[in-house]
Amino acid sequence: MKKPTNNCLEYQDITIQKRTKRNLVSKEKAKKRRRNKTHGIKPSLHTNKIGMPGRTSVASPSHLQLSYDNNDLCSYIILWIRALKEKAAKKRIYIDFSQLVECDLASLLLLTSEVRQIQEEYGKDSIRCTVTGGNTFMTKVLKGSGIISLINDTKLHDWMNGWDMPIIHGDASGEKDFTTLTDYLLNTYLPDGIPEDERARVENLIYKAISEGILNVEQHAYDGSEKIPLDRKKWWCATFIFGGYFYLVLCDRGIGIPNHLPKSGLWEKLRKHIFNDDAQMIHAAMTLTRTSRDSFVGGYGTKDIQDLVAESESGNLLLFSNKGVYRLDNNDGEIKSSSYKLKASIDGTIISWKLALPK
Amino acid sequence: MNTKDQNITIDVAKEFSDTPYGRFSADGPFSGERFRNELLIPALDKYELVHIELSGTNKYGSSFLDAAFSGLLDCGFTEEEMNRRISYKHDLLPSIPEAIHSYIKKYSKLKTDKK
Repeated sequence: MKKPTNNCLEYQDITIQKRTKRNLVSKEKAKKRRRNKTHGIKPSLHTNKIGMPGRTSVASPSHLQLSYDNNDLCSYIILWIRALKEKAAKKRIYIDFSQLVECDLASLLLLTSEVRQIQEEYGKDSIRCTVTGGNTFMTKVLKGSGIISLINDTKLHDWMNGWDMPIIHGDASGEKDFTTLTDYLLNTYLPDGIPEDERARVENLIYKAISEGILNVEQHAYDGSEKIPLDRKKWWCATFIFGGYFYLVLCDRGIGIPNHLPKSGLWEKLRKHIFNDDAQMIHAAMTLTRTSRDSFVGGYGTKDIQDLVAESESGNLLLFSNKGVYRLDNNDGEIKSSSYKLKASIDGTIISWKLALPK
Repeated sequence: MNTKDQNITIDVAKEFSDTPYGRFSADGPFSGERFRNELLIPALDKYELVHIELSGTNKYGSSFLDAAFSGLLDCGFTEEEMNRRISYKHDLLPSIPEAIHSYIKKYSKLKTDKK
């Protein structure tokens, strides 16, 4: 074999360097393109390199957040969560949460409800997950919410015994127990030695929000033309206290507020002639019934769920229903509302309250 | 001639429930509708003045309070009569009697406007 000359080696070296540089630039451009699409959020990667044999591995996005301000991110997260079921229908899946850096309760509840649906349809073994190698805080949040135990079908221990921010679920059958959760929150988050009247005000706010919120879901979220058994009227709830605010998030996979508006009379006229999308319908249901006693027109006691914000010193309500989002803000008594249309439907309703703790 | 006894106190926590919730009987065993029909209306039939002692618990939902008290407007009582004959007290939460008065006032106005 002919020995390569020094010139030849030098040429090869330069070529390799150029190729490597070209590859790096191209990879960087592709990465930038992906990030532009998702507003800086690392997208979910679908790979079989990690995970368990015989399962489709699905990496979570870096941010699981249903933010009001970013329609693209919201829709991206909704589509990612809803795609899990399609994947599970084909092959058992394995979610890798290791690149998760931020999440909110609303998206965790939506994910939990989707996981439950997957488990009911395809069996508990159809879905597994890992948090290994991930962000320490996110690992704590995911474990503390109980979602890891749920997905991996490990024993669901008592949520009052060690879970920081439990996601609890229930349905419309049986007697309600709002006291256990209320007392848990009071004992976990309120400092000792708080004055008795202040504790009473906080207790009243928490009990009122939890009981009104859950009753509304059970009574109205699943109402429709067909009769649904009470134990199929499911809801998921997460709650905590932080920074002087009480947070309560409720999720159901019912028909959604826009599909619940009456098919006759005023609402049908509005639907046909004025409002074209879910956001406008939700906004109308909320604002037109804000002063009405019989406000169950929207499938929810629309007045009741807004009253919690109106009666609070400050706070807000964020409501996702199908393809619409509605927001109500109370800034020291000044009430403002807004809404927009989502690009993807959540197929249900998520209501998130942030209420100032009374002093 | 009015032969009603003078007054009575109903202690919600002791005589009904320390965790009342819901508007209608279908919502649960301790709803506002049930309190109104089983305790409040019989007391109003028998006594001239009814005092509602709310202090035994801090766990009150707005649906319960609304149905229990402003629901009386659907049972033949007027706002004026209710203000005269029913009194409310919560030692730690004055906002609860205030809320009850507000629900009654709002519903009374709504009924008047509808006429």
